[in-house]
Amino acid sequence: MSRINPLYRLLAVCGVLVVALAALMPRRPPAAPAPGAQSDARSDAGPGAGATLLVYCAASVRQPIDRLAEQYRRRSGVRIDLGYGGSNTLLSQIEVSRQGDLFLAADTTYTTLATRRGLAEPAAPIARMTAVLAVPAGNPLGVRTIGDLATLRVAAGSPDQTAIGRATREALQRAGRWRGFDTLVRRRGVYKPTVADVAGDVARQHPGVVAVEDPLLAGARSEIAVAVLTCSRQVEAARGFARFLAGEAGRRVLEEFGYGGVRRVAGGTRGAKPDGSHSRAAR
Amino acid sequence: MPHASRIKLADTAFTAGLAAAAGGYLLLLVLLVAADLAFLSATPAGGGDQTGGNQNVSDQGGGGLGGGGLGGAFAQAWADPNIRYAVRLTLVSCTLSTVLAMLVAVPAGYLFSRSAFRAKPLLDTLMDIPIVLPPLTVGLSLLILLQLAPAWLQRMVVYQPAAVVLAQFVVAAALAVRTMRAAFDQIDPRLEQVARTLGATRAQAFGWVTLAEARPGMITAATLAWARSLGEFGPLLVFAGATRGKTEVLATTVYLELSAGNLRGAVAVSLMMIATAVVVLTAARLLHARWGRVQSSSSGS
Repeated sequence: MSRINPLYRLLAVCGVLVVALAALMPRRPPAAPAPGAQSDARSDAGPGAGATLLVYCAASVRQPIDRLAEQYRRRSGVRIDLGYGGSNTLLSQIEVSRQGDLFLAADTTYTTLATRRGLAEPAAPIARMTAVLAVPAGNPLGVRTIGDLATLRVAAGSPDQTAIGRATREALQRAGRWRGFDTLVRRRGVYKPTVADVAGDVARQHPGVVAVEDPLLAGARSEIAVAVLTCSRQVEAARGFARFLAGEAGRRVLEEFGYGGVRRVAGGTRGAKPDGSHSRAAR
Repeated sequence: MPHASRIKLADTAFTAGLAAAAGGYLLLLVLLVAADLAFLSATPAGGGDQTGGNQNVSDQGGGGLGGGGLGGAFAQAWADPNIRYAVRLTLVSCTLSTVLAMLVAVPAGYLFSRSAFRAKPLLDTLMDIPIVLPPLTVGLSLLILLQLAPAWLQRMVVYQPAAVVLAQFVVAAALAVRTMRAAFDQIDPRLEQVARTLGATRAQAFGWVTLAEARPGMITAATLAWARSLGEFGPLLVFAGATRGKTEVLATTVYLELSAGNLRGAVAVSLMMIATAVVVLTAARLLHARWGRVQSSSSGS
């Protein structure tokens, strides 16, 4: 039998394990500019090529921003690290950590707050969300306006947690319809913390979802905005990416995902997958 | 004999009661997984990436692989390099935080089990803080704490993979300490005392006598710590951030897919997590059984 105290043997094994596991921690590939960045016709090796920007990004706009970040990396060699979360959580993270370069919020409320607290420069809006009624494909219940929801089960974005929920509340308050709608949701429906959650409620049960626009909700808008953080040490590079998002390339991708000021015909088909512009779902 | 048969009947009823309680709960769990699987095979492919989805998925998993149904959903998820990165980071970080947690839990559990001092109830409660606190608060507190650290340490940890391990460790260690303490509480201190009277030092008595007896407890503690780390999400979101290909673990992936409205992706990754957990935890239980046998045979000789 070994003479070494099992305690020491165990400690040695743990030590070796820690070192081995630390070595196994995945390393990300070096932030080399993508091949072809040079040959690219629009190789405006923008400000700060080779830099890495940390962008706090509202999780609800993940898909278009993911793609835009990749496009921007190919074009300018600037790597974009996207940290996702709810806009309000991100704001707290920025406030505490004082790290990072850009703040992309689902609503200008948050960027305005950030600016007021001295955390960010004034924000630039990059896309707009408008509240709509999301109903099963074909609109079997014939929903046309918010008044038609009275006997249905309704899922809506929480007015305290989602930007579009707040915008909806403001629009309906102006029209004097908020109290009735709020009562309806509380009694027969549910408030969800994210828009995707709301859309999921309909999408889980129906193969397709379409958007119905109620003129009453046309004013319920929220703007996605991006702001350069004052704690950024790469302000020029950060501004470069902000300009890219607010520019033509950003508009094109965001529109493809259903964001933007695009007008739609009432009840028009929006494809099988609901996107972030739907504020509420009736079934 | 009527008396014997009455007893037999009562025993059968008792066993049936046990089986009903355990079976009912197990059935619920199995149904949960089955519902996820059914959801995946029922929803058409492309639900996730019709509106663009993940570029990588549509680029690589496109032809044939990204088809509908069950296999398609997993192939689609696996084709995404970010998800493969998340799988690797999850496995390594959970194991690393478990080892670190055990390095704290064994001494701390032993100390709390064997010693009596006035501040013990208070310190005992302090140990529970990570379990009691809302998960987001743990992450926020870590973030605030790190602001006091030197800049180089901040750069190394905050929003980096190291933050994943640290956040998992904080919560996992609290659970492991609890478990180890309960394990040491059940070990008779007299064996150790006998070893001491035979001339052993405290370290020798602990290593040769107590540690061997604590093995089942250690496996349980490590298993719990690992499982908790796997599901850890709240502190990570705040302290490590949810950056794809950097600090994204599987629990974060589920959140990211859900918040982008990709139900299929979220469910597929959840099932991958369940499968991973089942494999690892079953392996740990088998190890446990084997170690238990080794231990009893060595003590018998």
